[in-house]
Amino acid sequence: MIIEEITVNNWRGYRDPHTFEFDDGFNLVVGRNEAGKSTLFEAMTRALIDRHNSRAEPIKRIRPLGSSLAPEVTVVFRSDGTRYKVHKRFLDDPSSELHTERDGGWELDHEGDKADEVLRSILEGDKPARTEARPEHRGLAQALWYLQDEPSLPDDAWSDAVNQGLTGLVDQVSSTEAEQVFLNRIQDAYEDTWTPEKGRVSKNSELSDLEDEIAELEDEVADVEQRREKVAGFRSDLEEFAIRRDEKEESLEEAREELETLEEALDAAEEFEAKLEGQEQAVEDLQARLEDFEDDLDGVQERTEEIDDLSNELEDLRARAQEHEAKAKQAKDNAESHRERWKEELEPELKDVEADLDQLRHLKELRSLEERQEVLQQQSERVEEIRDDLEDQRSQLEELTAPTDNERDQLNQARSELRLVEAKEDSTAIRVGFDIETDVDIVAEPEPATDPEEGEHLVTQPTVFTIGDIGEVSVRGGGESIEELAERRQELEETIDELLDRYDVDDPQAFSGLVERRIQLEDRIEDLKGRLEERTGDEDPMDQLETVRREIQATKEGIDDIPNAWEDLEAGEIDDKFDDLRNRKERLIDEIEDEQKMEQETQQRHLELVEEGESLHQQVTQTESRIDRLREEKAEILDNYGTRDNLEEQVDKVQGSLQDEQETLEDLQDQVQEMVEEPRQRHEQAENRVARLEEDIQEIDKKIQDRQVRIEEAAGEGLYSKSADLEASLNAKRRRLEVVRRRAEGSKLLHDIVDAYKREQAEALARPLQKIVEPWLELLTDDAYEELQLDEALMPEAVKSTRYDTSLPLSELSHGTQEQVIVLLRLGIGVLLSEEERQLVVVDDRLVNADAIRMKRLRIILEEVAANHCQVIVATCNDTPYAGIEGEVIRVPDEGRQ
Amino acid sequence: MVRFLHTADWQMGMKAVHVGERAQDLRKTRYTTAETIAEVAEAEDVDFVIVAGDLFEHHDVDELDVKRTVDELDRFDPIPVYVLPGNHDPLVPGGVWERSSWDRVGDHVTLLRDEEPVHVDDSVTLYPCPLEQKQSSRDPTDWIPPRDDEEAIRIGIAHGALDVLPAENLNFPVSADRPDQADLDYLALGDWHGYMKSGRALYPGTPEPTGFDEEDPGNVALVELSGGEAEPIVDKENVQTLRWAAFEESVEDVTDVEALGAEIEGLGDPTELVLRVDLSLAGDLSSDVVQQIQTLRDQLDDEAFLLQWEEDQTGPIAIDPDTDLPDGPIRRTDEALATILDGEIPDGPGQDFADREEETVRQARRLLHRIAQEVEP
Repeated sequence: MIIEEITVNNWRGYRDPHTFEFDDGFNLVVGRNEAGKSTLFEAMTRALIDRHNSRAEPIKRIRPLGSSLAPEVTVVFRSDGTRYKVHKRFLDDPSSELHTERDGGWELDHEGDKADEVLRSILEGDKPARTEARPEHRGLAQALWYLQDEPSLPDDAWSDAVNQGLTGLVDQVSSTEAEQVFLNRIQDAYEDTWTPEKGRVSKNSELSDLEDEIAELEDEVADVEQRREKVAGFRSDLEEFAIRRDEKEESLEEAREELETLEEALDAAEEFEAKLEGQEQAVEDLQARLEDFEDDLDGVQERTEEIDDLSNELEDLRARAQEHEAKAKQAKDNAESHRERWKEELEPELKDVEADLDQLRHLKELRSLEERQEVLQQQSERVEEIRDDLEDQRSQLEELTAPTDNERDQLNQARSELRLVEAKEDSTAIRVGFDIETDVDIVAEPEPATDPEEGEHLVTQPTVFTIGDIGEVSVRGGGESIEELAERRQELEETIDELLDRYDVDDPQAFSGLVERRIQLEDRIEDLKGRLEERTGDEDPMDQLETVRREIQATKEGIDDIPNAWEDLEAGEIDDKFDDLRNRKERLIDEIEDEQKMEQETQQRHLELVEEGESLHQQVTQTESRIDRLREEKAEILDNYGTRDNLEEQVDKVQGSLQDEQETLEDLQDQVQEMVEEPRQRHEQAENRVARLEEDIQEIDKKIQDRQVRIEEAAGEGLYSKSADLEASLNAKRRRLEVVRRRAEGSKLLHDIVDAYKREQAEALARPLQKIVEPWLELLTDDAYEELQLDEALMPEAVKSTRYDTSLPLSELSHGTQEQVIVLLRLGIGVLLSEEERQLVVVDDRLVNADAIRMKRLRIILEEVAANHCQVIVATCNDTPYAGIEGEVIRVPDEGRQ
Repeated sequence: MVRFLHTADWQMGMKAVHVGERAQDLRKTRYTTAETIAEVAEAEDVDFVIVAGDLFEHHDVDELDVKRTVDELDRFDPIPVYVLPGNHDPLVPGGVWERSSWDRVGDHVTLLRDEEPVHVDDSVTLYPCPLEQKQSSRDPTDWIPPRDDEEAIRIGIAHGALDVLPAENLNFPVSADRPDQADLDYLALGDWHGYMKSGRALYPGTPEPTGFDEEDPGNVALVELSGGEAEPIVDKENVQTLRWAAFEESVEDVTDVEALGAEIEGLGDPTELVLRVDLSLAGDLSSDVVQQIQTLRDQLDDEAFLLQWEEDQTGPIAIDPDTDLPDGPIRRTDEALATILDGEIPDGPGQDFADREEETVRQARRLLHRIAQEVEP
């Protein structure tokens, strides 16, 4: 289909009828932004596709603002060699008319819905919707009209019309509805078992469930089998136990027989033991008798020996007692002599030394007091001197008439204020100066003070200056304050004079001299007072001197009979003497102590010796009585035998009999091992063996019972039938798995093989398109990309990069390149679809992002397409790249503003 | 004269794993059969009953199975029952005979524990040959002493393989000459599951079949012995509860399916049938035949005690001539699958799949045609 003419009226900006005419080849619609280029395409689309009676909101917006007229559009187009004219009016009294050109004239063929319907079938579009028609309803135009504000590519597939248009060319059948049903079913069957993405067994498929169940069952079977094996183990245990039990029973039988034989030997052993016991008794009796005799004999012998020993001891004791007595006496004498030495000699000497020491001490004291007396004498004299001086100073102060501190301060204050008042007076006074050439006397009344440097008069009160005979000058002024100041000055001068008069001085210096003199005297008095206080302190040296004199007197009285030699001793000599005597005293004391100690020791020794002597005497007495007692006992023992010889004879006799009996006993004892112990041991061993065997058998019986119980328990659990049921179930599942797996593999194969054929078909569809687009792509991108890769729905997927020999997904290209690639694809589709009949390709402002070089190349492609294949309408706001292009240039006036 | 019932190989508590989900039910039917035997013994007024081995399937059988077996044996009371340990339940420590449940069996039941004559009465002596292990190459009857002066009827009871049986490495081989050698009036045997007589030796077979490959199972023997030179008089009595039948048929058209259906129907009450059907289906069957087969299968599955339907690996693909596959990839896929099944390599991308297993290819094509049928309006 190609468009020849479009006329709009009351259409957005076009309030009046406006007709656009198109060339069969290239058409450039030029206009500024918002100039109404897209409005033109909208009108074309609505005329050809939309239902005339649609009241969809976008259609309502077509009516020009403020207009009440219905929008109208007329399109003249050619399809399949026939010219048609369609006229549609929207919104008010909507209408649709389809005219066909016959014999050079228009014939109205269809009106209303019928017209819409026929129109659509011509354009191979879908049935128009109640709403406005979207790109997918446009039939072939979906691919060929690349309008503004519409997506670059359809969401999932080109419309059937596009596909069919293309498939017609490659003689293939595309996914018809019927085929899609198959494909869906095959996919469903496939996804019953396999994951759609990776073709793995999906988790909740029957196959997967069966595999899981089988694994679980296998585990259970293994578990049950393991438990059954345990039971088998118990059974083989039982077999082993049975054998062992038989063996033990046999051994037990043997052991019991042996035990019976051994019991007879045991009786014989008992008899032998009785005999042995009798013999042992006989020997024991004889031994007891012999022991009695021997005891007696020993008793006699022991006593005899003891008596001899004691007699010797007695002699010795007596000698030692005498020796002790002599030693005691000696010790007593020694003690006496020590006592005499300290009592008679040393103590009197000590008393003499102590008396001398006493005298010397007094003498020392006296000397010290006398020295003290002399020092105190000197101190007293010095104090006297200070007292005299103090008295003198005091009388001087009394005689002096001097101003008080207060008066001094009063004078100073008056003087300083006076200075201040004078200064004020001076600055407040009127200064009067005369500059008169002639020598004239100037007299002032009263006379003011005069500043000699300036020659000015300081007038502080009304003053009359008489200037020679020239006349008088009266000066008044100064006012009250000057008078006050003068008054105050006068007061102060009086105060000062009064203070000076009081102390009869002429000037303040003399006044100050008096004050200073007074202060000097007062300070001196204070100083002397301090010194006196320092010397007299707590006690007056006079008093102390008196006290010392009394002490000297008392000490002298305390000394009587001082040896003449000592009278003139110096203090140092006295000290030496004193030390000598003290040393001597100490030596004497030590000596006395030594003697006393020795006296005590010898005294103690004496007492000890006396005690020991007494003890020896006692021992002598005891030994004597012990000897007497032993003699009595010996006599008593021998009383039964008469003599000792008789006793010895008895012992010999019994010893003979005992030896005989003992020999018999030894013979018997030699036979004990054989007659008693061996049979006993063997009997015990046999008994133990029987017991052990019985125990063993009991033990085995216990184990047998245990295994039997366990076997019964297992049987009670129904392990055998459980294992049967599990195995049966497992078998069934395995058979089912086999079937399911086979089916799943079948579904997979079917899926894969159909997929392979679908892919082949897609490739077959895509190839002619690729062939057309490929050289354009190379030209446009300067050989950077060569091949446009399409999916089975003919949607562009990627371009092949020549440089890197790899595919770049479309999404990774820049936006501009993406748009350009899609324009090329649409042009390619246009070329393919135009092989049977020339088709219209619209590119509405889609190349704005192309750079100058790309634009130049695109122009070449567009020209080629327009020249050889399609009607091309390009809308742009910039016609520069198209300058001089062969074709129709349609300038769109600003919408409705023509 | 003496008249007794000879049975063997009850195999109580058997696993029956090969019947899958119905194993438990199958196990139960053996008690029904035991009950039938007791009824026969009573009705026939026999002097005693011999169970010649394998009363139990295994020493491990559930306690419940021992109890129920004891209950069944107690039904024979007061008819004496002589039970011989067989190779499935030999006399071993910890074996089934030591179970406390077995101890409770009635006094009319005698477990033949020893190789020594048992005098039923003055006129009949039993020579039991109990087994004490599962396997052996020893003839268990070799201990039976020759006849001395006695007049009594001598009956041997043994469990083993008569050496005339067609098998190698016989377990517990029993000499077929034993009745002559030991001058036995009758040798009551167990172990072989089908009814079989060889001279004076006889296998009654298992009274309840255990599988499809047993010859003439499901019987007990009623034996009458008069002594002397007289031959034993044996009546075979069928006691089985379930009938086992296996069919291997090839099906080409609807009549084949119908014939199979009729044959199975001829077997009697379908609820007592254990069936195995193994169909070999040639070529591409029409959907009619496939439907018919499915109907039969569904019917049997519903009615029979158990149906084992062996899926034919080379089963048919129902091709409806009216089915229209869409042109393009779908139709080309079908053509490629058909080509592969013909053993050839298809054109186009289908050739990559030519090496797939035939069954997988068949499944794929079957699925495609099932979809075709389902999507038919």
